Amino acid sequence: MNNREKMYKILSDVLGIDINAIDGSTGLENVESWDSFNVILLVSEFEQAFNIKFTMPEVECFKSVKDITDVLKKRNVEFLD
Amino acid sequence: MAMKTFNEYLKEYKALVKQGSPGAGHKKIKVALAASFNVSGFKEVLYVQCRQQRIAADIYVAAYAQYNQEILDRSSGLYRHQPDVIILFVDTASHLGDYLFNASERSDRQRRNFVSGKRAGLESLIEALEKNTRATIIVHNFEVPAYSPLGILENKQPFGMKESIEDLNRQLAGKYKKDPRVYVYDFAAKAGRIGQQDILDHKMYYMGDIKVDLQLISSITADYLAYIRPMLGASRKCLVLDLDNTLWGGVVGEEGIEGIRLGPTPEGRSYWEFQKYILSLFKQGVILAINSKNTEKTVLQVLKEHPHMVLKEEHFAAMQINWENKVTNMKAIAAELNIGLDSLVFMDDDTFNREVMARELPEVHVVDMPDDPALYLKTVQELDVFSVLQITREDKGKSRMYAQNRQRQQFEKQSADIDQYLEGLRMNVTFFEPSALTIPRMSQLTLKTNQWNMTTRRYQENDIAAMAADDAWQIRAMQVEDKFGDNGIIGLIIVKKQGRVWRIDTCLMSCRVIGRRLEEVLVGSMINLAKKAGVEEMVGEFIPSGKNGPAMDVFRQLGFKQDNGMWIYPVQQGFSMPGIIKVRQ
Repeated sequence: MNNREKMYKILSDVLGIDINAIDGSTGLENVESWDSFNVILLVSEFEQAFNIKFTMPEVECFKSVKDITDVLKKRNVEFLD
Repeated sequence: MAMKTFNEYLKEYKALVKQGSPGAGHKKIKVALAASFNVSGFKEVLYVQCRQQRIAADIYVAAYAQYNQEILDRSSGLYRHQPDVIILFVDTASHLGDYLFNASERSDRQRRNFVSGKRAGLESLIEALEKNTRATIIVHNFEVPAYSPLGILENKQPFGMKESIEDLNRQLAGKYKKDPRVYVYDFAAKAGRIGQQDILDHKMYYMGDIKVDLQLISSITADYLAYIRPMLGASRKCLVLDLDNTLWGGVVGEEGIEGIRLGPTPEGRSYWEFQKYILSLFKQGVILAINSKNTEKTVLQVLKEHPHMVLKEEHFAAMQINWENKVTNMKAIAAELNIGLDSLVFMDDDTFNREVMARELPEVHVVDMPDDPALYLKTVQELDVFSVLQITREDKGKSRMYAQNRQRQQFEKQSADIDQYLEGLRMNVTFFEPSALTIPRMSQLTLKTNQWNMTTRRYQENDIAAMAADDAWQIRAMQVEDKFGDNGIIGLIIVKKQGRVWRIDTCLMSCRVIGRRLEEVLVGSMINLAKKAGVEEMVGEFIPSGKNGPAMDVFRQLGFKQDNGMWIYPVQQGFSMPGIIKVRQ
């Protein structure tokens, strides 16, 4: 599994959404289960999966998949695309 | 085995809930959790862990940060849930608030007053729970901060902040030491083991008032199970051990008694200390057994002659030492000890043996042994599957009694027939009424006895005490001694008096004394007591539990007649007691 697949798998698991329907725009605006507890859960699972610790300011702007990808990239998690 | 992530628990929870209610054979318990912070996820993880042990938990979580109100309001959801067990998790920061920041500005006396006021507050909540429910109550103690604004001068103060919280913990533990309903869960020690740096993720705390890292919830809820299992009579009883590379280093069949590693040497100390800890478990009543591929003669020589062998023949209640497969041996051990496979725990260094055991006998608890023998001691120390809510005199002697049973069986083989054998045992029975000394054991028998148990009604100590205080109940416990030693209190009968009819509410015996005509004494003496009281009928009831097959036919054998699903004995005809057993009242 590459990092994007890993990330989408977690998103799909935690939010209970179809993995094929996930793209950068997936987020608070269009996913009902994107609530504050699930964001915390996503943070915990990503930290576990990528062996990093996010900062609070980073987490505060997790409003879409793109936001999360941007932070992960800054943290040197490599995405092929 | 890798730890499950928090999300894996949540997924499993959803899947289990979707499956619908668990099948028969699951033990049921109602749990309530009241906490001072956001405990989202605790319920789900605990539910999954319970299900893994065939426990169907119905879990209520008090509304977020309203533990106070729910405990004080007798019509709250917490009380409507009618929990069997209540977990109260109040964290240090919530309970002491800004004290953690300004304690050093206060005087010693102010600190003392403040903390003792906070202790009284918590104790009054516990008191309310004790008064308003019949539940067992588990209370977290308080994590002690590792920092102080005073730095290295913190413990130069007569009564510093840390000391004040340690004192709070000590006082709590002291207050409930003798209270059978309240258990103080040592969360301070837990936090120390996990590491205070890790238990709280500050970001999660600021964002969601989450004070236990989501990935660590499972470790804490697993500790709750150590309380829940014995409440349901689901604790394990017997530790079954492999020998080569488990109790000692090396293979004795190849390297000989001189070649194995065991004792105060760098290579032998891990095994030696592992054995010492197992001996301490034996002394608390854990039954020991051997399941090993070996030549019996060689092993007996090690048990008898090796100077550093801590565990000896007299500690083992069953020894399956042969070249059979270990699954067959495991079944033989359960049969020999007359306990269920679900009472057994298996420790073996060999991964293959463990996998086969776990697959073939899923009821057996197979311990995930580390590759490194240096970690054996830690592994056995962390085993919490034997936990009991109270240790009685019978517990401490139980493992020894099982070992004595091996001698009884040899005696039985030498006897010509069963009556001669029973007579030769020279049994003496003593009956006990409920008292502070006997109530813990009575409760424990109802919680732990599965096979020879007519109704499988489980009673906590306070239930028994309440019945004992009520004239409508007659309760008697039976103790048996024989020529090989004291078996302790191994039988219990509880009768509800309803005028001319007495109903047997509970009638049970520990399985290790089955087949000795003791049931005639247990039930017969109650019938004769009823006769004196002018009672007409003794009514017995058999409730199948899936495990009490061995007791199915007892009432018939005792001369009760079946009627409408109940068993009736005409009391005035009296009961003739077996002459071979002496009874002291």
